[in-house]
Amino acid sequence: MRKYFTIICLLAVFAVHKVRASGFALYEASVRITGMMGAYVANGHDVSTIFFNPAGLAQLSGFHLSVGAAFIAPRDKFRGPLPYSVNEYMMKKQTFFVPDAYASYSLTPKLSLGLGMYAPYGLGTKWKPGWVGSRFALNTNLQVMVLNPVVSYRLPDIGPVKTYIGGGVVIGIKGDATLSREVTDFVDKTGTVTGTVSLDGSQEKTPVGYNLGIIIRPSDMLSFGFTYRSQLKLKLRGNAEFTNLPASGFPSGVVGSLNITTPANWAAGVNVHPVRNLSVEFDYVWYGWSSFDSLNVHFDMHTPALQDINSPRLYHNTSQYRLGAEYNVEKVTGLTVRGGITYDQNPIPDKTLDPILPDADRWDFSCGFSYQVTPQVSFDAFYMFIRAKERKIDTPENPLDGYYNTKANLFGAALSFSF
Amino acid sequence: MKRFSTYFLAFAIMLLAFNSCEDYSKHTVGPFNTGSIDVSKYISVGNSLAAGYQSGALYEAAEMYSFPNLLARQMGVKDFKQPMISPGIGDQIAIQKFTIDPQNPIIVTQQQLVGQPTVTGPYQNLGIPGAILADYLNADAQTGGIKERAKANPFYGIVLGSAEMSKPVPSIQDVVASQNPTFVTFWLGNNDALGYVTSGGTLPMNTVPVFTQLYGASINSILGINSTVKIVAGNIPNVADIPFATTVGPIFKAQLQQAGVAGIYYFKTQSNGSEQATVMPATSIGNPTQALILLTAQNYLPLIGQPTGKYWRDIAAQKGVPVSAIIQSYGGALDTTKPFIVSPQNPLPNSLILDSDEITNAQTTIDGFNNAIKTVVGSSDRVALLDINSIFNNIVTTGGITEDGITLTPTIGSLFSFDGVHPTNRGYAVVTNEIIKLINNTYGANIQRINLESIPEGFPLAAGAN
Repeated sequence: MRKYFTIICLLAVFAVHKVRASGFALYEASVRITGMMGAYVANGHDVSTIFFNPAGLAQLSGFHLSVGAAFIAPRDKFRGPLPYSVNEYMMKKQTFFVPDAYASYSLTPKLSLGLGMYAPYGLGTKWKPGWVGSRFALNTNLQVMVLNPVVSYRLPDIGPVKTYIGGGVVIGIKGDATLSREVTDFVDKTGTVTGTVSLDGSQEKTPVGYNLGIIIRPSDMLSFGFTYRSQLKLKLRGNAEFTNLPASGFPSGVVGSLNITTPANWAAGVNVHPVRNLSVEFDYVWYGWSSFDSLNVHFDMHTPALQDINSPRLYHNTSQYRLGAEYNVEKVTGLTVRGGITYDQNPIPDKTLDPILPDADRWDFSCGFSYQVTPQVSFDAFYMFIRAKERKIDTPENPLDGYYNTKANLFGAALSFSF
Repeated sequence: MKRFSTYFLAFAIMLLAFNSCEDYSKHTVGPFNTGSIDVSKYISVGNSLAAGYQSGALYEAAEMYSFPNLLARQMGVKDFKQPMISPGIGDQIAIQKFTIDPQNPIIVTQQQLVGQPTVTGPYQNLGIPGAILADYLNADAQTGGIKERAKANPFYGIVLGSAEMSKPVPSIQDVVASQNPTFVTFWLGNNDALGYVTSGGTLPMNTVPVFTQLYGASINSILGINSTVKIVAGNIPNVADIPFATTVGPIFKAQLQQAGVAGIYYFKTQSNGSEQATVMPATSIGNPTQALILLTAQNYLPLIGQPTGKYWRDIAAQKGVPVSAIIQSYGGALDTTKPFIVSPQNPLPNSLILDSDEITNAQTTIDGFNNAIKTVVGSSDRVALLDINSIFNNIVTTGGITEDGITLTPTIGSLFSFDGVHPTNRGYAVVTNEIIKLINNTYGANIQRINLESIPEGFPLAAGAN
């Protein structure tokens, strides 16, 4: 046994690798509206407008309740690492269950109150142990659930122009994150020692944000909408677990905390009724992802091998274009059908894209229907398909170059009640 | 209005169709733009630095990150074989445990690795740990040469192969020529000076005239194999700048000054070859031009002031002679009952320190080697110079190199592995990136550099490390 006198350069095994949360906004917050690809900011006649534009709620009279769920089944594959290999690695298949619930009540013909519960942000990727990118991502999971009480008011009409405003408080009721990856920085006589590092965090403080909106309806054929959603500052904290790593460098009982700030976003839309029974809407949605300059993880204990993470992510702001349509089928009483297309930019530059979230610019397609079972009860369903453009990462600035392909199938169903 | 519902139905069917089609495009690796270099047969010639030696041993997990292997990968070389050795050969310095003491953050131990190649030759990486410049042509075969050195060094036989070693005069050149290379990296000669430095000036260096002659003959032999082969030749970094020589001194100096010790005694080689106790002021210790304390001293320095002969007992055990015989050879100049290092009769052993004369001597000789390399490289447009000496000097002067958000300093555990002489995985990647830069600039190539974050640190863990 011998000792070094010197201060050996700290290994900081955990710290050197960038951990990036990323373009993890979810907008499948309502079964009915997802059927027309979320193009709804200027419409707002469903109770789930609490999510899409709280101003819409004052258009509803009486009591409304909607309970639904979406199932998201993404499929990803990676081929690489470039420049010397194009071996194929499939992401593990997972299906995510994303519930939502909305209720509203009109106190007066001009004033409505509402309460929504939904998941505005989420992410889940799981790769196989030992895969070529395991030192960058193994298992990543983020679940955010919020309560969103809103109030909406119809302002005095100006001539034929009707104006609705609304706003609410967004309260995070659940925030959980898991980050895990393999540590391949040690070798023994048999070769690389594969250890794992994993952090399971839950929110230690309730984050609070807000959403606002306005709908202006110059005629029954035309309306405009605008909505804004604030950032949500999540503070997560939990135990770090290390397996198959020397305990002196990776002790048990380490607590890690990380902050994730979700992006602010706004949307502006126009809705028209070109012919009877048909509603068509186009929305532009902006996400302020550039607020994600870095992700910081702090550990309450440090060793030469375990240091805090301060990783730049360099996201840029993104635009989303949503086109949706809704048609009341006269032949079948109570049937409404929907369809939509979205073009969605991704916020992650080539140099920081990693298998935690292999995001890419993508096209989303959806279709759906509602069927009015009784005057009080209706059933909704949607199917959505996401096709991401093939993403080729081929820059020496990224430690894992290769091709990413992503697609996803989503479907959902909901029951709505109106009294 | 019926047509709208037809449209919606058609749209839904289209979505299902979209989903079922697998439109993923097929991809292959490459093309690799290596400019005017033909990489169809790349051969690496060198010593432990080419073999991928790390932390006192050669082992498979380190060989994977040898600079020739990384370079071959980036250039798209299809067949590049190395003598992958499992579990390894050598006394590997490995992590025993981490501590929270900032002075001793890592406690290491040595573990002996005994192994064999898992891949059969002929190899394209002909890096032979311990090889000297004379080995390339086996120029000193008459006085023993490779065959003599192979008696104490198993790597000659492993790398060159038994067929070559059974020849009357084996040489590296023979193995290179038999593979008819199109591209060669040639980085030999470090060991012609390294032994002098790591022995504290007690082992000889090659001379500049001999080195000059050997270098020209070696490069010309490669150029003569065929008319198109291209060479990247690396020069010799100043070995007095490696952590093996720079790590311990400054810490020892601080300890001396804290204890109020003004100076120490060390054995200095005299012009007649004898050794004499000489004073070294504490202020000179760790000064890169005055006195470098070697990594090998770290086990003995804590014994300062004690009446100890531990170093001499260790040497005696190593050589298999009685310790009394060694002490008697100093003819009364050495008395291990006197306080170690602070008494002129029990000074710091010569092999643990490089003094200013020895530092100058090493520097002058290495400068001579590098001038010879520069002249030889300049005489052919098929040879490019990898000026690793300037690159390393620059890293030492500026305190480190930063790529991809990772800063590597010229210290143990960063650019250098635990032996203080050989780079880490990422250190070898830095060397590779410098070669890539040189090839891109010189031969009109566009080879992608390596992202340092893609390279695992590769630190050895001792058996039972906790």
